[in-house]
Amino acid sequence: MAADADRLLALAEAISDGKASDWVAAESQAGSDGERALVRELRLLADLADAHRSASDSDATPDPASADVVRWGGLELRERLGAGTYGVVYRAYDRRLAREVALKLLHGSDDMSGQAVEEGRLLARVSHPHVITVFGADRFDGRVGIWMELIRGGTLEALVRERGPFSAREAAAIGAELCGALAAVHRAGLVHRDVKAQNVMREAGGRFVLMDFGAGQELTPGAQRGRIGTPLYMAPELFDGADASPQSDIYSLGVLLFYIVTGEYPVVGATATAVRDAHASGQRRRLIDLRPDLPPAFAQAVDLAIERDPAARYATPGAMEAALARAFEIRPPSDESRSWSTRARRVWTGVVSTAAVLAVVAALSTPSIRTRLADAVFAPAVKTVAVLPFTNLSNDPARQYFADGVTDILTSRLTMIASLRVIARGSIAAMPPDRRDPASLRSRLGAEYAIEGSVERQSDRVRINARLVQASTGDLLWAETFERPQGDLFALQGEIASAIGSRVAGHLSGETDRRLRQQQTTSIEAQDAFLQARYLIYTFERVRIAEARQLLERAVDLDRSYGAAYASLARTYGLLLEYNMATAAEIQPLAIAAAARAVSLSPDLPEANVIDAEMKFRLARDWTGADASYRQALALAPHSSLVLSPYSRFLCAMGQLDDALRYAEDGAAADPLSGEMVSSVGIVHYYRRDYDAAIRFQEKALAVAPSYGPAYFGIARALSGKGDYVKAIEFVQKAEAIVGPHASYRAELARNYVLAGYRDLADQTLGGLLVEARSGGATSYEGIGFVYAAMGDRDRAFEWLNRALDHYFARLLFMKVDPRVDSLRGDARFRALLQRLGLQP
Amino acid sequence: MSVESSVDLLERVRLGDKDALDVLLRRYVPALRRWARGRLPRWARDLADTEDVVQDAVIRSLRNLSTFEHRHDGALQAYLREAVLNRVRDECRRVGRRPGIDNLEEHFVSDGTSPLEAAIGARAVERYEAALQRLKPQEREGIVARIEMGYSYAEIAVMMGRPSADAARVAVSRALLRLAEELRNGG
Repeated sequence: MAADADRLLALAEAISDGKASDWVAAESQAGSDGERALVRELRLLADLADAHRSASDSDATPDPASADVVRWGGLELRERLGAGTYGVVYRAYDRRLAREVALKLLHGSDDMSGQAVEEGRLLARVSHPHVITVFGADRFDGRVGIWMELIRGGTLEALVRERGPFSAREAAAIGAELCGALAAVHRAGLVHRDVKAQNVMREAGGRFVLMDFGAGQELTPGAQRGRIGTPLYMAPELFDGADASPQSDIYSLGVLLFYIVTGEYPVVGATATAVRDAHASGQRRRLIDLRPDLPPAFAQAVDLAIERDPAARYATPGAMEAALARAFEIRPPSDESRSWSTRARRVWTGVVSTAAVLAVVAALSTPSIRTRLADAVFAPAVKTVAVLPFTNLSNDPARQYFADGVTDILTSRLTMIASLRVIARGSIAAMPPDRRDPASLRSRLGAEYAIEGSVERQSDRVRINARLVQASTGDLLWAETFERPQGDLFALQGEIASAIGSRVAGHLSGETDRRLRQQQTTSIEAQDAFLQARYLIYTFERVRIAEARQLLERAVDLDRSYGAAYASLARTYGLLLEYNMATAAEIQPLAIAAAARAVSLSPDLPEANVIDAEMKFRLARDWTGADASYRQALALAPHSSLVLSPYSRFLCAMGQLDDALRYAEDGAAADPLSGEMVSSVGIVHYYRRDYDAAIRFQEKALAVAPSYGPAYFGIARALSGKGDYVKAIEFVQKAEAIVGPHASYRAELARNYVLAGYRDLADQTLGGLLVEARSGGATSYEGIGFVYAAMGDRDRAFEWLNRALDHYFARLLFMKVDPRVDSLRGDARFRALLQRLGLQP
Repeated sequence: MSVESSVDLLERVRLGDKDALDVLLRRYVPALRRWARGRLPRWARDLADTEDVVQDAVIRSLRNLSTFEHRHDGALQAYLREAVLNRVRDECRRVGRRPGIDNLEEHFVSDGTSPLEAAIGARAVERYEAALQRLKPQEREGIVARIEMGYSYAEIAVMMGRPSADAARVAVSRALLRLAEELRNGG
């Protein structure tokens, strides 16, 4: 009918124009069922058009540039703080993070700028409470800038000048903190090169921070930068042209301690040449002569650092820290409640003699852990390697999953070599594909070696070419082609890993080698399903997760002893739960069973142990079992972020925050470009109630991954902990803008509205949550509990927390450490709540 | 002033004309970037936002068009869209980044839904995509250009070789009606 056709076309035109229509009227005007259905479909298209329009409208509008504000990159320059030969330092404002930062804008010609940016990125690798946090380095308008946290306070140099020398005890405490700082710098593969009293700041609040990496550089042999440290602090071997090393940094730290207790230096001279000559002729002052009142143990500790022969000094900053601690029986700041393994590790790093090492080894009962330590003893340095995605040579894009699988499995096999730190796939992927040259891998990831290759799969054969490249020089160290009939990829990748491992790390123990080459399955069909499933899982898209489940169920059906497939299946079940794609009743038992089966079939597979630990932690509440599985995974792959991160989270829930911090930091070292990993370190600081450190790390996460929404939420939680409720609200809203609205976010808003005194807004938001809860919809029960806690209504707070437990206790696993329930801790009902969770108070 | 069709520009690009490349990039990249954001989970935004990724995918595609045979601009657009989506999806895949709302307790209520899926539901998006495939190429391109990428009628007229903006509007509207019919019939 013409009139109908016109009406329908008019509706279509309105959709195309972006104009609204009265759909109810349109449906009622329809002349037939068929037409009514058509109108409904047109309405769907209208919704779709709207969705597209709002998706593009929701772009963040850039700040209108104000003519009289000086800008560099995304920062507004506010005040010039100082200048030097390298460049100028400004106080600047980062609108996105809503906080001030220090911006160092370098002088320097164009051909130096690439290097400078790389240097800046080196510094960003270091994460430590006593090392200045560098957020990023970049180049705008022809100038290179490095922006970092703004420290308000004074230098150690100024303090000594104003207040006179420090006491030995004070100096030892400062020294211990700076030892930790140096250790972090060295762990990132860097040498500071300019440790001096002018480069340490004391922040208002007491935190000492090692700064000014102006002269910092990488630990590569033979690299000359032409920039030297300050002569009075310089180790003697540097005057003779030796390379800067951890030992020369230790020397400088020793001089610093000498200086702050005396106001003088061990070796003096008016010029660099004079100082050099003084070293050569052995003219030095003794600490005990200048300050006879110093405790001998302290004086000896400092003397050992400034030994003329680098080999006579401490091997590591950790050893120096231990010596200083012993002098006063001070416990270095992060020493509370250390578990036996970390205590053992601390002893080990300080020890030089074999006898002592063997004593430590003998004290540990588990054979597998003894093997790990044995490997470490013979090849003490942990080398960092980056595995680049292997290229898919078969021209079929549908085969990409196979090449991806090869890369993935090789990476996972390599993590089982104790003296390797393998960079996680996320950080590799965060680098643009055409900027993954060896030099960039070195500067951005700290990689000393890169592994790359290609995969070709023909009917019944597989051909893999693997190459090992030295990151600093780009030299090809090793290449080999493996051509095999189609077979178990785990065994083949294990063979490749073994070849690479022995070249990089030296001799591998027989046990390690055996574990590397272990086979997983003989069924090619099962393996194919497994590889395809893993490929799908990494998209984290709902539809594909469901597909992955089916593939993995088929894989284990084809081979009932396929441990790795059971591990991935367990993980997939976990994702289905998280995405609310299946009920707990249905999935939980499947998940727990699959994980248990995985670990019993493949006890030497780190992934199996991790997923088993996760299930025991989050679903079965078997803390002891979880800890045992995590530990086993860690013993198998001690530097893998896929083990360290979940274990760190578990330790948080258990209240073991110092160990949790250590593991979180180690995890971030293996995945430095991941917003999630860096953010995780911030989270541990949050639980430790170190809110400033928490915010610093969340900001660092954003520097690395600008739209990692949860980092804004992490900042909001920390701000709330500090009592800055208004700003916390602002940051929850920033998180929402990126991630989308969620009940947990709304609950946090309500909580902060209460604390900030916005009663009406609080009631409104809480009201919305209560309505959701009553109608049985998905909402945040525990969030409602937190809001009542903030209001001081304990009865209702406990009511809703317990209701949350009825629904899904996984969300209350962190009650022991969550600051939001601090006001409830004294109540007997809190103990009862913890008991319900199975946690010790 | 006449506006060159994309096909002509492409010919010039093949001959090494850098200005032509600039025009094509300016014509397609901003809209593709916007479009990509709507199609990907929110947490993948920084991947789509990175000028490099989208522009890179477009440049590579334009370079690889030696085997590509297209008859009209719409097909070029479709090809580029495909390339961009695959590229960004690959990046997501390689990153293996878990989306989440709260890294503190990891109760991942958020998932891999795109803003589009969140607005009308994943099932609806699936049906829409399937029905779209059943249309004629010109019809499909018109709808995508207008609804998904937000091009003006004048731009669409140029891209699709229509005589006027009005003609483009009529074509898109008719295509929408056809799409609705496919949706209804296809289930």
